[in-house]
Amino acid sequence: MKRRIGAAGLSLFISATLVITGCAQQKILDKMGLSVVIGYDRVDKDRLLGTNVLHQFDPMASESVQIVASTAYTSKGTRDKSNLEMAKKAVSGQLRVTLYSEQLAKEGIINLVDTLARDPTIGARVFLAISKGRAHDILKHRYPEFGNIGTYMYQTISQNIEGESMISPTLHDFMHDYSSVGRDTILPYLEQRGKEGNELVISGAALFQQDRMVGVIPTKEVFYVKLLRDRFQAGSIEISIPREVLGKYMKVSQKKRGNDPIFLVLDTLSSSSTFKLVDKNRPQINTEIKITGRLQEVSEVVDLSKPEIIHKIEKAISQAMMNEGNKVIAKLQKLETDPIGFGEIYRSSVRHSNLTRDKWYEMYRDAKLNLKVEMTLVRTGVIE
Amino acid sequence: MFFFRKKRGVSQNKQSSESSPDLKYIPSSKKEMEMVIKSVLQDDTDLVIKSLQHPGKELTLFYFSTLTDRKIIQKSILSVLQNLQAPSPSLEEIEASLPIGEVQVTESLDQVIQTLHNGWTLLHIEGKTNALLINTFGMKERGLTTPENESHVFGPQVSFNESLATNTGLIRKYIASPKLHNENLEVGKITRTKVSMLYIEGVASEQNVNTLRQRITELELDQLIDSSMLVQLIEDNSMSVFPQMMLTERPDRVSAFLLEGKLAVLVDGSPYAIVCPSTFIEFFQTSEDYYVRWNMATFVRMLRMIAMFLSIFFTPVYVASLTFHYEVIPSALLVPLAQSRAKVPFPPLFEALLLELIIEFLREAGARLPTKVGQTMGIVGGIVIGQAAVQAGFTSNILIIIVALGALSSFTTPSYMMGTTIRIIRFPMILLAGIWGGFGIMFGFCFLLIHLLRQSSLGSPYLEPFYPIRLRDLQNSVVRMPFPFFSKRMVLTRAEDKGKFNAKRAKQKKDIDE
Repeated sequence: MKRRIGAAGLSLFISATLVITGCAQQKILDKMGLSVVIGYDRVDKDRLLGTNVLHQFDPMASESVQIVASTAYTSKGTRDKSNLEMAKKAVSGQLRVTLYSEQLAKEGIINLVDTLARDPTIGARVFLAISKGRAHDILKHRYPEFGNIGTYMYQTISQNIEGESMISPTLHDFMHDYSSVGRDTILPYLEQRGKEGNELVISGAALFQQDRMVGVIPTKEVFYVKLLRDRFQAGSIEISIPREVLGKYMKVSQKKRGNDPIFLVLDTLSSSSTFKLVDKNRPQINTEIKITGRLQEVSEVVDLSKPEIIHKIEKAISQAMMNEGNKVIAKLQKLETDPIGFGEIYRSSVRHSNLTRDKWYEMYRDAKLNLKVEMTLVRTGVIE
Repeated sequence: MFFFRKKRGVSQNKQSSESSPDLKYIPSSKKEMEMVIKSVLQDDTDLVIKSLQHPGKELTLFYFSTLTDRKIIQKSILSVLQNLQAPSPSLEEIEASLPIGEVQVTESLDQVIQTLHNGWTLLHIEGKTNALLINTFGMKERGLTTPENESHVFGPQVSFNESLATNTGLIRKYIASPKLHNENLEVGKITRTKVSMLYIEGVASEQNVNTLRQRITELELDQLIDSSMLVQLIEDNSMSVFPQMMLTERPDRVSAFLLEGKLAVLVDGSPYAIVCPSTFIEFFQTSEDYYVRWNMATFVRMLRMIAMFLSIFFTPVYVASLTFHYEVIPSALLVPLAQSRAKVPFPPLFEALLLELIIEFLREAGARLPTKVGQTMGIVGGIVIGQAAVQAGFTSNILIIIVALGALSSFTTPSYMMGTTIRIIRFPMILLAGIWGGFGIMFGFCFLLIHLLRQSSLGSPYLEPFYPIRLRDLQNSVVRMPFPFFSKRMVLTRAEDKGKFNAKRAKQKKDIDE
C-alpha cells in the first residue's frame, strides 16, 4: 500500500514537473540587456529622458557598453521605449548607479526612487547620485581613458565610500533618511571636468530637503558632515592651521615666508561623537567629537619628536576643525537641510515630541548647534 | 521495487531434494556408490574415481581434479593408503593414519555431494555404509595485493582477495580474540555460496546479529556471485540511490568496525566485505583518518564534505543563476561570465547537461577501457574535447571549470558507491535548477534531506549522528577527535559492552622520571 502511494506520488511529481515548468519565467543571462547605470533628466514639463547604460558582452562589438536613451512620462516608460531599439531586453537586476540631473533633483525625485525600492530585482545597495548638468551628457560622453562608464562610475563612488571621503548614498540609506523625521539625504555630486569633459569627478555632495535637492557642498565640507553623521574608522583629511601656532619653533628662514597657513594631512582617522540636547524649547545641542589620527604630512619642517609641539598641533587642529565644522553647520541650517540628523537626536531626547518635518525645519533654522572637537595625534610615522 | 518484492521470513519453499529417499545414505558396495555418484553428477569430466586394491578391502577415492590439490592427494592420501600395513583397516585406523587435519566421517549422501563440490575427497571403503571425507581443497587464489579502490598513502596496504578462508584469516589476524565469532551461512539454492557473518560476541548487539542472520538466511535466491549483490538484497531500502551498508576491501577497516560493535559479512568469491549498520557520514570517512593525526584527519574530512556539496550544487547553481537569477552574479564576475557565454548557442541548462554528459562518457569510457589506453583517453579526451568545445562555441570556459571541479570533487568521496550516487543526483539537480532555478535547487535539496532522514541501515538511523543528534558519535563524524575521546563505542551500534577503555586512566601519562 505504501509503495503504491509512492508510485502515485512519483507520477504526480513527474506530471507536475512537466506542467508547471512553464510557470517560472526564464531570464537567461545572455538574452538580457543589463543596465549598469540609468540616468534621468527632465526634458520638458512632464517628460523624462532616461539614459540606459548597458553592458555590451558581444566580443565583436568595439564598445563595452551600449547606451540607449528615450523619453517618456515615467522611468519604466523610458525603459519600455528603450527596448524598441535593443536586441536584448533591458532589465535592471544588475543596476549599480542611478544618476539624476540637478534640475530634476530640485523638483524632487521620490517617484523615481520609490519605483526602484519596490522592484525586487534591484538591490538595496544601488547608489544614487546627482549630476551637474544633464545626466545624459555625462553618460553619453565617450571617455578615452576608461571603457565602461557604468562600472567606472560605480567603482568611483564605492571606492570613495570605502575610503570614507563620501557618505554612503545607497538606495537603502535614501529610503531610510526619506522616511525618518529629522534627517535628510545627502548624495554624491558628479560632474564632468577637464578638456572636452573627459574626466568624471565627484566634486561634492548634494543636499536634500526630503527628496528635493536644495544645495551643494564641496568635498572638503563633506568631511564635517560625515564626521557628525557617521563615525570615521580609517579616513583622511588635509587641514590647515595658522602659522603663528608653531612660530616659536621655527627657524628664521621659515618665518620669512609670510603668513601662509601650514597644511597637515591626517590619516587613519577614527572618531566618536556624543550629542547632548541642552535646551528643548529653543533647541540647543552640544556636540563633542573625539578624533584620533596619524599625522602623515606637514608642509613645513617641524620637529615632531617634541611632545609640546605635538600638543600645540593637536590644539590647533581641534580649533581649526571646530571653526570649519561650525561654519558647515551654519550653512546647513541656512539651507534648511539636516543631513547630520540633529532632528533625530532631538526626537530621541524629548519624550512625546510629536515632531513633524515642518516643525523641525522651523526649529532647526535657529537652533543652537555647538560643536567641540578634541583631536589626538596617536602617531607621527616611523622615524629611522 | 514496485514489481518485485523481497520476501522475508514469509514462506520457506520446500527443500527440493534431488536424491530419492532410498539414496539418502551411502551404499556399501563400491559399484553402487560409483553409480549413485555418477547419476547425481551426471558425467562430469573432471570427476576422478580412483580405486585402490588393498588386501582385504577395496578403497575408492572420489574427487574433482579441478578443485583439489593434486599434491595432497598424492602425498597425504595415496601414498599413505598404499603403505597401510593392517590387513583390513577400519575407518578409524585410516583416519588416524592420514596426515590431514580436516577429516570427517559421514553417512549422508547429501553431505558427500556438497563437500565434493567444495574440493573435498571422499574415501569409500567396500562394504561400509560410512565413508571418510577429507579436505583436499586446493585452488589457485589471487595473491594479497594493495587495495585498489580504497588506496591509502598511510596504514596497512593489504586488501581482501576472492577466498573466504583467506579473508576470514586476515580479520582474525587483526582481532586475535576468542570473542570474534564466525557464523557460516549458505545463500543460493544452486550456487550454495558460503557466507560468513562476523561479529564480536559481547560487543555487537544481539538484536543486530539476529536481524542480519535472518535477512541472510531467509533470502529466496538461487544464486549469489558477489557481496555487492548480497548487499543490495539485505539493505533496508533497495530502492534508494544511497548505499546503506558499507562495502570495503580493507581488512583493517572491517576489523575496526567490528570492534565498534558492527557486523561484517564475507562472501566466498568476493573481495568485498559488507559492514553494517552504517551511517551516511561514514561513507565519507576512511581508515586513513585514524592513521594520521586527528587535526589532519579533521581537515581532510571537512574537505570531503565541501567537495560533496560542491559536486552536487556547483553546476546547478551556475545553471540557476544564469537562467533565472542574473541579479545575484557579482559585478566582478559578470563580464567574464557573460563574455564566455556570448558565443554559446544553447540555454545554460542544455549547455550544462551536455558537458556533464561528456564528463560521464569520459569517465565510463575510462573505466571500461584497458588500463593503459584508458589513462591516455581520459587526459587527452578531456583536454581535447574541453578545448574544442569552447573554441567551437559549444560551452563556456567557466562552465568547463565548474563541471571539471564538480567531477573532481565527486572523486574525493572515498566510497565508490557513494561517489557514483553523488554524480547521479547531480543530474536531477541540474534539471530542477534549469526548470525552477534556485527554488528548484532548494526543492531538490529538501527532497534529498527528507529521503535521507527516512533511511535506515539495519534499523539504525542513516543520518545519525546529525539526526537524531548523538553527541558521542558527532566526535567522530565530520571531525575526528583525538583518541582519548573515543573511550566509548558508537551509540549507533547499540553495543552490548559500551566502554572501550577508562578515559581517565588513559589520559594519565606516566613517564619514568616522575
